[in-house]
Amino acid sequence: MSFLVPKSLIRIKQIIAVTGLFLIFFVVAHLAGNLTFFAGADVFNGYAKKLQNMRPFLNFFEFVLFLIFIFHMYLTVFLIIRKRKVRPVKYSVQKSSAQRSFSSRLMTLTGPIIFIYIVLHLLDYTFSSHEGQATVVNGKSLGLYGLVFNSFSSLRHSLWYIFSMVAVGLHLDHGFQSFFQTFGIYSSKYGGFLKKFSRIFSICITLSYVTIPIYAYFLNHYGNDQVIKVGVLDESKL
Amino acid sequence: MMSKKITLNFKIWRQSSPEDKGKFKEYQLEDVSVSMSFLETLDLLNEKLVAQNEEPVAFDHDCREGICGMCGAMVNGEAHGPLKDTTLCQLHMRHFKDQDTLVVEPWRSAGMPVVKDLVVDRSALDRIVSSGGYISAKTGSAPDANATLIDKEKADLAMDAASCIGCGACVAACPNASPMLFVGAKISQLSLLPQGQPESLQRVEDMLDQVDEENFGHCSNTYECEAACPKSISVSNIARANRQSILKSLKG
Repeated sequence: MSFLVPKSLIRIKQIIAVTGLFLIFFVVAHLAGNLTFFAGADVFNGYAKKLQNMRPFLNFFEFVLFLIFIFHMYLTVFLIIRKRKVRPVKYSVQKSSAQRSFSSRLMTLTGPIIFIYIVLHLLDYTFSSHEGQATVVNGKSLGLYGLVFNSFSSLRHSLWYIFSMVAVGLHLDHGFQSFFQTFGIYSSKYGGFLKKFSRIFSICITLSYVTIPIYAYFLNHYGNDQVIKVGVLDESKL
Repeated sequence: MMSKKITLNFKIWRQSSPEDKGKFKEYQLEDVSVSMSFLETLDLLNEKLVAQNEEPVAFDHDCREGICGMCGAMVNGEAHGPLKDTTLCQLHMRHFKDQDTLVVEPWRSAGMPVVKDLVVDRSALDRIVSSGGYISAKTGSAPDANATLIDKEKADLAMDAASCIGCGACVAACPNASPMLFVGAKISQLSLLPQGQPESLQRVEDMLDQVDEENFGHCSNTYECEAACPKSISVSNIARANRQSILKSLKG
């Protein structure tokens, strides 16, 4: 099990970067699925059903994703623990340069937030029943769509999702440009562009994700007409 | 011409030996000319300490013109003090105000342990260079300047990397005590030039292996090193080293 105690710092960094990149791909793919929420219950539930029909391929994909996630976290924790040994005596005063990005300072905070978020998110929608009372909108069970829709009637739940998506955005802001640096794509010429690119990318990711809790929350509380509209579920299309 | 005199309060790390735990000691120094450099101010303090039969503050220094890489300390939490792109010896007291308090600490890293007071042992950086930061081909006597043509752009980048004086500020400023800016500069200054290219991938592997041997931390791309570097060496040198490390693992 020698790979569990990796020796080469540069290898660890490369593995964290490459697993991080795969997770970014996943975040983008997941977002594409999420946005079908705006198309109503039919499309959203249809998309979810199509994914489920892809098993056992989906099981394999989930397993790989799980491994990637575990490696990304394990190696990071390994480095954080190791970090204490390399500076045994702390500075009494240490100023951070203005050059260091806000998001890079928060990596060890946004990381655990995302971890907690993912666990709760899986409990919320993946490992929960997609039938029953929680899925009923206007007297009709709308499956996963109804479950998501109803969950965002709670302000606390919506705010927690928005907060988590901000954490994801901050994590990506440092993580994405870090990937370019670790894989040597960064250069004096393109460095500035890559930093800006990752910033804009992460802002877009966060903004796109938070549209769903915001939309669902306002639809729950202020959009009675639309609820009736989206509440129509054509089961023959599934 | 008489220059302005100020009074400064110092909080300086005193550690008698590598084994000593060390602690801060406070000193007040009057009549500090604003034209003095930081090291001259420490000289002034030491003269007073010697006159009082106290142990003077040990600090490294050599050229005192910012090109040798011997001096260096954290001043108020910044490597080489608050002035950008300068070594400690080139920091003049005109950048401080009367009655300022200056906290002076040595570089802190397990890879560069404190020898005494502000003096640290930077031999780990030398070991990284001796693990591969050279070319082993015999290049003969100096060739004609135009015998080997080199892009101006590349020559400039190589010169920028070669301006690293190995002071250790990058390690000191890094939140993880990583020497990657130093390593990146030492790798880039050779791999950018034709003479350094044949061994470039092996060099990267050997030097990064040595980094793992020393008690240094990992690079997490915070770029604190670039901000602290007295020679303003770019983190794109780290990217170059990273790129070559990946090429090495792909090519085997």
